Amino acid sequence: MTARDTVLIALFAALTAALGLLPPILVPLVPVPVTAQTLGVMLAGCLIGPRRAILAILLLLVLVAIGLPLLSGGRGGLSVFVGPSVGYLIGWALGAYVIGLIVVRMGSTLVALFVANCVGGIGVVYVFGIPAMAAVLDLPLTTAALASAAFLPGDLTKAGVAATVAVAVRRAYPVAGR
Amino acid sequence: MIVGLYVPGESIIHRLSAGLKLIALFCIGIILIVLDGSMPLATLAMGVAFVFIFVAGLGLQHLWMATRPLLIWFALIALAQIWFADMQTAANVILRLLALVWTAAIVTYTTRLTDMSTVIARLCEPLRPLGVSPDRVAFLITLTIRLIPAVFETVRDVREAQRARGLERVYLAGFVPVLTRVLRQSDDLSDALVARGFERWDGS
Repeated sequence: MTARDTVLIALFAALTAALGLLPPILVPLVPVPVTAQTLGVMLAGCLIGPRRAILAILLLLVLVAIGLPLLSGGRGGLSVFVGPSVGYLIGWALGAYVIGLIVVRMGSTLVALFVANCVGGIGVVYVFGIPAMAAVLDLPLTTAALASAAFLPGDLTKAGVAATVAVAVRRAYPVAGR
Repeated sequence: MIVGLYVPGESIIHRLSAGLKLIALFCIGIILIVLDGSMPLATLAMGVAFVFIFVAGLGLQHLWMATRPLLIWFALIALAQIWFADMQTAANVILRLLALVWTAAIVTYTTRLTDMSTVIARLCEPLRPLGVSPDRVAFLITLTIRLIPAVFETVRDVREAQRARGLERVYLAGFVPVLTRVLRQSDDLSDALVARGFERWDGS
């Protein structure tokens, strides 16, 4: 691992943490507050490649586990790993990897990045998040999926925002992708 | 600066080793999950966790801090009751969740960040053949803790600059300059690491 890899991994872990410190936005018609944190997951996937992206998110999760309140709303510590949202956290790491993989294959046009964010940042995250939530809360899968659907409008918006931002950043700073 | 969740203290639980506490948490978790649906066990575990919060010298505010993120889930469970009307399962799930989350919170509140990251580094030891070096993991942890306030500062700077130009609520516009600045910082930082021989350090 080069110095550059190390720094990029740490910086995107820090960025995702810093985005969680921003106050959540309340959007009309969306029943849940939208936090900027998953934006960090998507941006990592879009900008630093699959391997560094998954390591950045794993590093963030390690920091949360050792007792830093870095998840949105000041959550942190080991409690979040025994709670209902543990699946989403695992999904973040694998989702960032999948986004990176898709970007490597499909290139970094706006459409490709948006598709990557939807598949990795929403699809993969929900695939791990919903069953884990159903298991921890002893709810049927459909109920858990329905509850997750409340986050879908916010997540789709974030997929669009992250794609738009990533395209502009790649144009302004071409090194990012490699 | 980022402040951890650790609450300084001198209790018996504070003095236990971090590894031991993590093993205990792991075992309690496994027992509660394997013996799923045992109401007396979940009640007992919750009661014990409740008592141990005070044994650890923690107060009601810590209890509340650990419980608050769960309220939304309890609301969801209550809502699901309208369709399934299975009070027994619902009560059991809530008890088990409280037991697990409180126990985990006790471990977090009573263990220093440094002790916890030592355990993490030790857990990485078996991954050495895969190219994971425990010292590098420890370095990454420290580096990131240092970088979070810096990145947050950048976010705030950019926001202020945009507000000065009359952009109040444009969130999208803020992210591009934040990221280009962050990436530029990363170049300087990796140059600084290379200059100090980072790439020749085998991490052992």
